[in-house]
Amino acid sequence: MARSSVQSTADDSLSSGEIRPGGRVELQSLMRIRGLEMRAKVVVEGFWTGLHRSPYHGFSVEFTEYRQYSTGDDLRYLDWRLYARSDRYYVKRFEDETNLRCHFLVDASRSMGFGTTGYTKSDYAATLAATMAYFLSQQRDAVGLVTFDRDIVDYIPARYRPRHSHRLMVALEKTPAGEGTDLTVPLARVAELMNKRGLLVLISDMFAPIGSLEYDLSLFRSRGHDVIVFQVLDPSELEFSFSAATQFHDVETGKQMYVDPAAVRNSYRERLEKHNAAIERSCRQLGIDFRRMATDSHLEPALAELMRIRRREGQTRKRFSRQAGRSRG
Amino acid sequence: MSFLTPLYLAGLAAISLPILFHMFRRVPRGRFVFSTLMFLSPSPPRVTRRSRIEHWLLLLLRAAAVLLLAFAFARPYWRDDTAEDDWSSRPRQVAILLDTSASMRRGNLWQDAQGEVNLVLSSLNPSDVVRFHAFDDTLRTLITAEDWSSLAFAERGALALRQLQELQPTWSATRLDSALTSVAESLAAEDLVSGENAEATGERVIVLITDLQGGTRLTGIQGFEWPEQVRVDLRRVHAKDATNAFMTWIDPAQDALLEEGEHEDNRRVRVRVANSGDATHGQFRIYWQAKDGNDETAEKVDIYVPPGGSRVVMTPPPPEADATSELQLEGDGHGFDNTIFRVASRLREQSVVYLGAKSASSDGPEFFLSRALPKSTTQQTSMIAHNPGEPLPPDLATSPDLIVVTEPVEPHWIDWLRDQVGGGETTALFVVSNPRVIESLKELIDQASLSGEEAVVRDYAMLASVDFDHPLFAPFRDPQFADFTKIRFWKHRSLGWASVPGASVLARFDDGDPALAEFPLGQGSIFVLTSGWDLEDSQLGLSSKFVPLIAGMISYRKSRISQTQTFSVNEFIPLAEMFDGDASEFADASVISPAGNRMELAENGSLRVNLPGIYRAHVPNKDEIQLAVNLAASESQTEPLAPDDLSRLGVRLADEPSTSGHRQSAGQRRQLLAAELEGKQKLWQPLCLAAFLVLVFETWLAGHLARRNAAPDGATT
Repeated sequence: MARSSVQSTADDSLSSGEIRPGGRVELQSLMRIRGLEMRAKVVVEGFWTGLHRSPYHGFSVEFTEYRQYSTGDDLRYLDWRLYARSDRYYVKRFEDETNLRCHFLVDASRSMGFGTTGYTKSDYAATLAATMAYFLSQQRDAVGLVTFDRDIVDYIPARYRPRHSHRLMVALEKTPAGEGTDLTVPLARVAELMNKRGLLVLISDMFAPIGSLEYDLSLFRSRGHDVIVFQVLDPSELEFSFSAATQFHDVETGKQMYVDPAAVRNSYRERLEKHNAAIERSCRQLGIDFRRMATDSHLEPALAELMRIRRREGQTRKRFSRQAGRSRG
Repeated sequence: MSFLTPLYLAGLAAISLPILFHMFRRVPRGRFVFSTLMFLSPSPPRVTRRSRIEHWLLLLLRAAAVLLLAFAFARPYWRDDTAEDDWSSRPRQVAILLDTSASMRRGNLWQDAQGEVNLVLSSLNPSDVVRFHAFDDTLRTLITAEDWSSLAFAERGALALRQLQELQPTWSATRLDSALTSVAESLAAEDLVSGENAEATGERVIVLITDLQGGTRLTGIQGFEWPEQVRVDLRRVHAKDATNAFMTWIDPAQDALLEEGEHEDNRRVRVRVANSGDATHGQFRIYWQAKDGNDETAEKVDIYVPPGGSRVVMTPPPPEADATSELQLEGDGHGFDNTIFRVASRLREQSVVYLGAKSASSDGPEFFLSRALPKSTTQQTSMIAHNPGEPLPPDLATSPDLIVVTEPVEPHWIDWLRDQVGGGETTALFVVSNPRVIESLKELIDQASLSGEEAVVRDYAMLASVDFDHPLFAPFRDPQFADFTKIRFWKHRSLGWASVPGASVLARFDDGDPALAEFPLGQGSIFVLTSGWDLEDSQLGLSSKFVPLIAGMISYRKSRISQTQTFSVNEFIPLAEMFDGDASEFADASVISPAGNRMELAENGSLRVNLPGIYRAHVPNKDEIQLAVNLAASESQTEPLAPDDLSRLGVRLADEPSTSGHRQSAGQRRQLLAAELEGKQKLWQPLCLAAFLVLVFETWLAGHLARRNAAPDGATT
């Protein structure tokens, strides 16, 4: 019973889009904490287990609905008392509290090593992933990690084990060293690796050609994965607020270009917005949740977003299940 | 302001570099690492903005640093017009210093040196003031500045050439240090001498014409502060043949006492043969010069001395019955030092008469005396003992060197003693081991007041005061030998006398009694020792002082001719001291030089020799003595020194021959004056310091501006 009260409280707060005051920590202070695990723990403070529903319907303790018996159903779940009352064969369905399988896909290319806020995008992305991973592991969910640049760098399968989250933190703390970002190859590989449905959280600056992005993401969707994309950008990347004209050096390709920020600021913003808009459009078409995170923004909204999405997903599934049950009935 | 090296001002063009860098910088210095360039397009630098000077102060500082450095390198100085005007009219002070030492006799050296002098003379200006000096181990002034100035210009050269023609190399050693410092001092003092015209004195140059051979003495320059305004124009003359070997005698006194039967070997002489370091070969021969001049029959010894090395060689026996001999060396390139002269040391036979009791034991006075008699390759001493109680023996020696009396003697012995000692040839020593000996002494010197008795000695007595000025004790004057306190006297006799003319106490015991006294007798002396040297009385016989004391008494009245009869050229030979006579006695003495000339002695009885060879000295009432005079060994060290050796000692060498300065153009003279002015003012030093300070400030400012203008983004990657 305690669990349901917690759940309802959290749901209320999430639905209203508020974050509890006790969970907010200044971002600069947070990023000064050395241990990633500790950072995650601080952010997750205030969120508790059981805030999401399982997308699976199995045979568990909590009854959800009846379904007419069809040949091949397990006779153990036949409701004999309903049969006695109605002379029809019904099978009981229960809400299955299965563990969620969630994989974080974290971009480890060199462009993630950029930052003007005192920490890099990579630090922010790692903290974001760690926070969500910690939160989910607190829920006894299986959490996995894939870091990638042009190819998969690290792959830690989703598990729920006592030291598993620690392994994840260690992998996340690695300095990004990859040369470039290419989403096609890593996403295709990940799609091959994950044969069981689950949640995929892609965290990247998305500084890559978007030509095949829609196709790559559709691979996940077609396999039943739920996908959330977090685009992590430095504020200066968003605003291009530099003043001194100087030689700009591409951290990934090594190319150099003399740029006068004042001269190119507008065109830069236009191109960036166009690029981002294209990504958002692709996500929207595929039913993928997309959220842009500037590295000076707090992490809690991202966590709330995650919860909101999961809650919505849970409700949608439940609704679909009921509708299906009714139509069969 | 003028510049010594104005070409460096071309460096001012470097000022344009900071401006150019400032103005035409198209490629920015900084580099900003950004995450991606995929949304960027290149924007060309805006020339209008960058062609403006952004940091005027920085630019000015950089230009100022370049400017200061260029000025410093150009060696600026404040022009002194008056000095420049006077420069050409300033009289130059030139001192020609010509080496006339024996080493200049080699080969072509003297001709070359004369040629150099001619060259110098021919290049002089009318305004130049010249002195002409010659030096070997002394400095001789041939022409003074006054002489030079008093003559017409045409006559000056003639005077110098006359002096030069009369000049010949001597046989003396080279003492460049004293010559150089004397001339330098006189040149440096020229300002003081010229008084009001001090400012008008021009360049001061010593034109040194020498072979600068290795034996040149330079030590005197070490402590000399070389005058800044005096420069030495070194003109070296070089011998064509570098090989030069030379010989030096090994002191015969260093030879160990030879055993009996080694007489033949005794006549052989050891000689050191050395070869110059720059020699081209080392094969030589030595032989004794035959009196008849026929060298063919002489026995020649082949020796090999490597260049720079030396060997000690045993010569063949010198020609028989020759007191003087010449050893020749052949095989080297220069003959000036190939003959060395020698006077054979004669064996002196001395005799001592002992009047005392014979004792067979090894603790009596005779025993110690017999072992203390000097015996060496140059002197032989014999002792004859007589019993003073017996009559005079028929074979009694006459004029012994020393008579030692240890017992009371009979009257006939007294008479004999009086004769011997009174003649002045013999010294007597009365050893008062018995108070009765004093009676004999009293009788001998005829002094009734003389008295003596056994002294009361508590424990032991020591010699407390010794007259080291007396010839007998003079050898002990040195503090390391002057300690007589280790000799303990168990017994002694006190001796007293009222007044004896000429008597003196040479040493006293610590109780005040005389230990050794000297009484005159006729022309001779009598020493009285108030204690014995046997073990019964004292430890004197065992002391290290005993042998030299006895030797001193033996040779006390004899003419003490130095054992060393070999000298160097230009050495003062103290003949009077050698004969132990008064200088007045040598007024009639004559010395015959090797050239056959008769030489006079100096007032103090000394003789200065200026030729190598055998000198024969005749002194009335004395034996003729022969003296061998050789070339100074240092003069034979002909391996040349480097001019740097002079520089190291502080001598300021002229970089270029200064006499050529007379042929210098006015422009060159101005350059010299400019160099002198610049050297005094040293304006480049404050300029360099200022440039350094400007650069420090510029560095700080540039750093400050760079930090301020650093990319505001503070991006980290």
